[in-house]
This record gives sequence, C-alpha cells and structure tokens, in this order.
Amino acid sequence: MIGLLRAEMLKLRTVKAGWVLVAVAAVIAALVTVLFVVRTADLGASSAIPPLGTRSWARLMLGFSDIGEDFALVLGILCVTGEYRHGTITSTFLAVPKRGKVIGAKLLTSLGAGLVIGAVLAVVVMGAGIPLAVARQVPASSVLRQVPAVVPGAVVATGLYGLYGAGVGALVRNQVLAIASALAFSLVGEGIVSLLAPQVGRWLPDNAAAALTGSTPGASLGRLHLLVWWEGGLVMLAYGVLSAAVGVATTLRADVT
Amino acid sequence: MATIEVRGLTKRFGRVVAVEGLSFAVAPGRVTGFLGPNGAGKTTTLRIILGLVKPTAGTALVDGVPYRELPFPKRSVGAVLEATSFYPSRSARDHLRVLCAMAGLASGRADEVLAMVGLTDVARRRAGGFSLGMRQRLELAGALLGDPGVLVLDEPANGLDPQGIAWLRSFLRWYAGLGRAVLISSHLLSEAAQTVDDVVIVAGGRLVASAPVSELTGRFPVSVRIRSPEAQRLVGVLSAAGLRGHYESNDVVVAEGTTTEAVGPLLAANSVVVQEMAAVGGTLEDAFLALTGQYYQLANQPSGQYQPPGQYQPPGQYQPPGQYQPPGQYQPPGQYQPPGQLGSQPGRDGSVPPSGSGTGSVGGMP
Ligand SMILES: Nc1ncnc2c1ncn2[C@@H]1O[C@H](COP(=O)(O)OP(=O)(O)O)[C@@H](O)[C@H]1O
Ligand SMILES: [Mg+2]
Repeated sequence: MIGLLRAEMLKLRTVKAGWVLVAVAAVIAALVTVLFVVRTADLGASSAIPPLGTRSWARLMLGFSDIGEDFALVLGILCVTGEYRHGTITSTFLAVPKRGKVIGAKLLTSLGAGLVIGAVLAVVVMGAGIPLAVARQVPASSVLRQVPAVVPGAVVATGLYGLYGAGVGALVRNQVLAIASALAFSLVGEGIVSLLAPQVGRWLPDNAAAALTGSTPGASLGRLHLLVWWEGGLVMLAYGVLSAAVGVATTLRADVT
Repeated sequence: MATIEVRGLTKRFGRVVAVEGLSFAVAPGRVTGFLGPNGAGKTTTLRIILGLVKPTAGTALVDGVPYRELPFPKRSVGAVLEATSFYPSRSARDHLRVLCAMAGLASGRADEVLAMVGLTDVARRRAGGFSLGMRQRLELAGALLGDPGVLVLDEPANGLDPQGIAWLRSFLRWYAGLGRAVLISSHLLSEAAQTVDDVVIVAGGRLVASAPVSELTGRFPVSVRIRSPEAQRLVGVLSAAGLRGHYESNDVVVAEGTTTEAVGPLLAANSVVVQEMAAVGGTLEDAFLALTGQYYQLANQPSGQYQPPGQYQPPGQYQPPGQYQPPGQYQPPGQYQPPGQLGSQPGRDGSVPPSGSGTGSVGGMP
C-alpha cells in the first residue's frame, strides 16, 4: 500500500492540470483576500461586512482559506477519471489487479492533495491579509487569535473535498461528466436544496464542510443550522468513502477493454 | 507445468459471443503464437487472462492462480496490450517509475528496462511525443519491469517497421530462451510462423488447433507432388477420387489439398506406377487455412506450365481433409525441462537481449 501511495503521489505530481489548479486557487485566494481587506477599510462601518479588526471580520477573512475546496474536488476527480481518459487504467490494473486497493490509494492521495491545497491557501490568505490589515492599524494578534478557530477546519475541509472528488470519480468514470455534475451540484444545486429544504441542506457536502470552517456559504441563504464541526467532518468523509465504495462495486468492476 | 492455463473460457458481450469454450495451455521456454483472424476473440482472451475482463464462464490461471490473486502480478506476468497509452506529459522514465512504485519494485529497474529496449536516450522525453514504434518499446519496457516468467503480447507487430519486427522477434526468442513463457497474438500467420514454437489457433471464439508448429504443419501438407510415367492415368484416378490439382510438367502432377497418406493407398489400389511422391507446402498458413475452412481458390492461381492434355478437370468444391480431429487437450512437449532458476533472479546478471541480426534460431519452420 505504501508503494501504491507513492505511485499515486508520483502520478499526481506529473499531472500538469494539478499544478495549474493549485496555482489558480492560490491566485484567486490572494485576490479575494486583498480586495476584502482593502474594501472593508474603504467602506467603513456603512457596509454589511463587519467592521475592520473585529473578531467576526478576522474570521471572515481567514475563512477564505477554504476557497480551494472546489479545486480539491476537481483534483480528486482527475485523480481517478484521468486514468480512464488517458488509458493508463489498463497498466494500473495490471500492476495492481485489486481495484478496491487502487481506489483506496487514490482516496488517500486525494485527501493529501486537498490538505496541501488547503494549507497553501491558508498561507496565501494569511500572508496577504495580515500585513494589509496591520498596515490599516489592525493589531496582528487580534487576527492571529482567530486562526485556530478557522484555519485548521478550512484545511481539513479542503482535504475532505479532495477525498470526496476521488469518490465521485470512482462513481462517474467520465471525466467531463463527473467534473460538470460535481461542480454544478456544489455551486448551484446545494444552494437550491438548502433554500428549499434546510433540514436536508445541512447534510450536503458544502454545508457539512462549512460546519468545519465555521463559515456560512450557502447557510446565509436559508438560515440553516450547520452541523457540529466534527459531524460535518464525518459527513464529508462518508460522502467520499461511500461514493468510492459504490463506484468499486459498480462502475469500476466493469471490463477494461 | 504450464504457466498459463485456460479452461473452458467463454465470454459474451451482450449478444456477441467473443470466446466460447476455449481451452489451451502455454508452456515455459517456448514462444506460443495465439493466432486467428480479426474478431476471433484473441484480445478478449488475453484480457481475461490478465484479469481485465471477467469471463462469463471458465477459468484462466497464471502460475496456477487467477491473475487477480497473484501476490506480485508484475513479477509473474508482463503484458503489452493494444490500445493502452501513456499520460501524454509524463516522461517515459516517470511512466515506468510509477509502475515500479505500484508493483513494489525498486525504481532503478526503470532505467534497466529502458536500456533493454533501447530507449535510454529518450527516457526523459514526454511519452506523448513518441512514435508508434517507440510506444511499443515503452510498453515492452513496462512489461519487463518485474522480470516476469510470462510475457503476453497482443498483436505486437502492429505499427512496427520491418527492422522493429525483426528486433522484436529475436528479443522474444531470446526471452523464451531464458526459460520464460511467451504468448503472442497475431492475425498475420506468415509473420508469426517465423517466431513461434507452438500455436494456438482460434476462429470465431473457438479453439481450432493447439500444437507445436512442426506437428501442425506436418499434419497438413496441402499438396502431394507425384512423378509418374503414366501421368494421364494418374490424373484420372485422382479426379475420380475427387481430388483436384495441376500438371507441373508432362510427368509430374501436383494433387492439392491432400496428404501422402491419402494418395498412397489410392494409387496402390489403382496400380499406378509412381516414381516419386512427396508432400509439398505445409506452411503454418496452409494449415491454418485448412483448419479454419478458409481454403484458397486454387483455380485462380494455376502454377507451373499447364500442358495441353488437359483432361484433368478440377472438381467443383474443395473438400477439407476428412481425417483431421480437433485436438482435445494440449499436451506439453515431452522434452521440456522446467527452468531451474526461474523466479529467483534471472536476467539480472547483465545479460542483454540479442540485437539486430538475430542470433536466436528461427523456430520450427521448414
Ligand atoms: N467490449 C466489447 N463489447 C462488445 N463486443 C466486443 C467487445 N470486445 C470485443 N468484442 C467482440 O468480440 C469479438 C472478439 O473480439 P476480439 O477479442 O477483439 O478479437 P481479436 O482480438 O481476435 O481480433 C468481436 O466480435 C468483437 O466485436
Ligand atoms: Mg485483437
């Protein structure tokens, strides 16, 4: 299994799209953070955003660390479906004929990749946001005090999104279909469900992940009560593992011809 | 002591029966040709052997167990399949290193096999830019990583230039010479005939024959050349027996699609004087065509100078030789000795495959 994990990491490192995804996520996180700090300073107390330097302001800013979630999702999907798309699945299954083992390694690798994306974005957000805030007379300590409440959760949530992506990829072998449906659900579908049926919505991936970060993406729409953070983590984990298990039992059992 | 054993294999894709009741075995130390026309079920069978496709019925064992239960599959079997590919932006070397990691092999093995197939110079180039021939070599390198006791290749000659084919042929003979089992599929019989020791012939998903090449070709001399001072009477006797043929010269007649065993008694019974009689032809292709019933139209290709005394009229339809019995079970050739050190660490002693003009003997063909 160790060798298999090493192989999966080597594969991921040599996939160009992976690096592009991380870079794009980092750039977006940096831009959003800079805009956020600069705009709240400009707008002053008149805006809906909490005043600069407050506890909830710091938490909102640090919460941008979870911007990489959907990127981790896509990376997880690529990790599985890329092998089918490029035909390397044949040599993979020849080397490791136990298909569940292959997917197990991909789940763990995608989890790891997601954690890396989450960590990179946390560093980017803090690196861009804190100096700008300090330049606007916000003491660094008041922001740093909120880090433990937000950042670890955001990193873990991003990691779990990676794992969830691998699960989706195991279920839907077609790369384009898997990415399109997962993103559409994450970006649009979940919001609609949360709005119409908040009791169901809180169990959906985005809101489960929000429980981990303490931020409220879809929640602000429907005023729904998020799960407790550890519940959210377990629900995310369950999405990844269950969809992978179903994938192994169905799509991945199919003949490779 | 077979290394691959296929028993009662059947595979249906919906309504299509790709393989039906197929049984054969592959012996170590020999190159076995898995032959048959396109659509015969070769690729399907190989993929079942390799655990990629699930059979509808029957079993395929490698070293006595199903592929999926091999503890170290890459060390038992190396495979070069059609339609596999590489991640385009990954270098040849990285591709192999990934395989090493998955198979639990030291990554240094990647450079060793690259050298074996002559790809060292392009090891760091992206595999996506490789020519078909280079891809085939990279595939072969991947198959050789685990120094496997069994090598399986699906239509390996496809896309190779003549030098590439010659190189591959000598490579495979060398590899079998190490005591390994080599199984190659091909729809090109004349091509395979020069490489293989044993053949397994399939058509329409069913086994047609399974035997050493020499035995098979000996069983099907397609024509018998007879020299006789009474050639005209000879032709009359042959025609009456339903045999067709042609004159090679005034006193030499070639009876087609028959054997000396059939013609000898016939001529004796009719007291035809025979000065010389010999079986001609008997190539693997002839045997294959006879076995699969796809016999060529002799009428279209008269050979030699057909002489006027033309009362030897070809009968209408070719009758396949009646005495052929479909072989039940493949019997491994008796003289086979199990290779002693197979599986320990063969091939790591710096031995290098033969290059270019093969030193390896070309198997079995007259
Ligand atoms: N995945 C598949 N789905 C449906 N039919 C298939 C599939 N793979 C092969 N076949 C059919 O099975 C038969 C045998 O094919 P194949 O094993 O590729 O033969 P060969 O390799 O000898 O040319 C053909 O009729 C082919 O069309
Ligand atoms: Mg084929």
